Amino acid sequence: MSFEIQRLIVEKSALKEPLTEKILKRFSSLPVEYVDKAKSVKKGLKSSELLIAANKGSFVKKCPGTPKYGCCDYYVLNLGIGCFYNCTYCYLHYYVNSPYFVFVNIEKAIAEVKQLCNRNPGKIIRLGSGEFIDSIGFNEIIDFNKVLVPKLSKIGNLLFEIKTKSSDVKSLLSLEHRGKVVVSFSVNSDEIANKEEKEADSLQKRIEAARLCQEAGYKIGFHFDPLIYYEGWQEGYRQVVDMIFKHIEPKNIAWISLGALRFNKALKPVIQEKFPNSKIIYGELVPGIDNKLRYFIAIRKKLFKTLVENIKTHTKQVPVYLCMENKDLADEVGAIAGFSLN
Amino acid sequence: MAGDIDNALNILKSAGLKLGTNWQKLFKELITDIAGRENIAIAEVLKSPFIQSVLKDKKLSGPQKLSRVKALLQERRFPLYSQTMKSFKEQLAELKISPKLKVIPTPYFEDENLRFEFSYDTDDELEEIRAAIKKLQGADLVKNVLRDTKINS
Repeated sequence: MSFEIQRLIVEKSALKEPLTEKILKRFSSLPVEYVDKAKSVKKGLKSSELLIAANKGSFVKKCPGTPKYGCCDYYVLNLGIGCFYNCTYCYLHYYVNSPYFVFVNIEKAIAEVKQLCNRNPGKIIRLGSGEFIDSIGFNEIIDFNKVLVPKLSKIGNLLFEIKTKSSDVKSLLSLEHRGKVVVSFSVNSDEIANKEEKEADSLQKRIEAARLCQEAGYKIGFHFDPLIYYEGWQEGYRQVVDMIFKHIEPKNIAWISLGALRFNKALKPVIQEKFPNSKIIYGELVPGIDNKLRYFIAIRKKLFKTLVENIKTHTKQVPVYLCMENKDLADEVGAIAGFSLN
Repeated sequence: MAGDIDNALNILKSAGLKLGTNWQKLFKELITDIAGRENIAIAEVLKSPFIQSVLKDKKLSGPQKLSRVKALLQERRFPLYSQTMKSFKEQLAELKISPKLKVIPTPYFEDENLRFEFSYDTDDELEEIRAAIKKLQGADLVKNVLRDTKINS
């Protein structure tokens, strides 16, 4: 893990927040700069700097999905930006210097989630914190889950998802989650995890962590994302599916999602420069309807169909959905498009 | 690497190909990607006998060479897509529909829609086009060619 914060920048309005105090205490040996507005320094941030700010805008946003493909009625809780795992395919590389920043006015975030759920009384809201950060990996800076899990799990029509590539789930195990929290693990084949997710925990460790969360009563989710088409993919992904069902009972799995490698065209030269040994950008990636690069559709169909079939040899109970694909494709491969709990 | 790719472009230029900015950008990306895919040096990409025979062919004009080299490189960069497009064209030809109807799939077959382009002067020609469209009904051209695409495991 390449976590090397060397300097803190604190927005003055964030000083009154209890989480700011905790972070300052944790990094008490680092130099601190205080600024009036986070915006004034955001653009020039270096990867060795952490910006601590109060979010004046919305914490909760509807998942943007991708234009012209399916969307799964998901909400994103934006607690900051940054990830320490440095996966080759991550869109965060697109941002210059991969900065870290964290929003500390967490009570505002919780209030917003409550409002959203109150406005939609007949609907189960699926909300996750793992879109711009690793929900557990971010504990290196601050443990949001300690505050969020007990409070958000009290909201009747909310299902809160923690998404991670970390196996360090200790802090979750004793939290009051009331069966309303899903701990989801991004998974990939051993070969891809070793090559493209070098700084994240190994697949075995992630599955073991999932098992521990299962024992603690959490529902578990798995995201096969991004699926990579490489020589030996079929066997590689079959082993992951087998390993999951060896350790996790189907009744405890809330969902499995599948998403094939896709990225904005502008990310290609960035990956090429930052990770010259990575071969993923040389796959048969073509512009999709949303203009992002994605595998030629015949490849995606084969990837999804094979994974769905593998999963169905173990269970037919677990919902398997496709991320950012259209309904026709999902129907054809036996998965769900636009997954929703309603 | 920048030097390697410039050398590769020089090979094309010395074969009489005039490369404007867009062509250079396209060839740079194709050559670099092929080298990455096939794990070979950039200099090796243009050594393929097919490309060499196009470059050395005295009967071909510069623009002809340019478009053939581009087609050869794209086939190598996107082999499955190229194979699918080829079989789409073959299956379309087998239907023997009127040449007045142009049948265009969605770029990269992202969905199963087909777009038609046609023009006609007489009622007979319009009837010919109608008959062609009818032949395409239920032919599931895109679905079939995608199903037949061979994906490695």
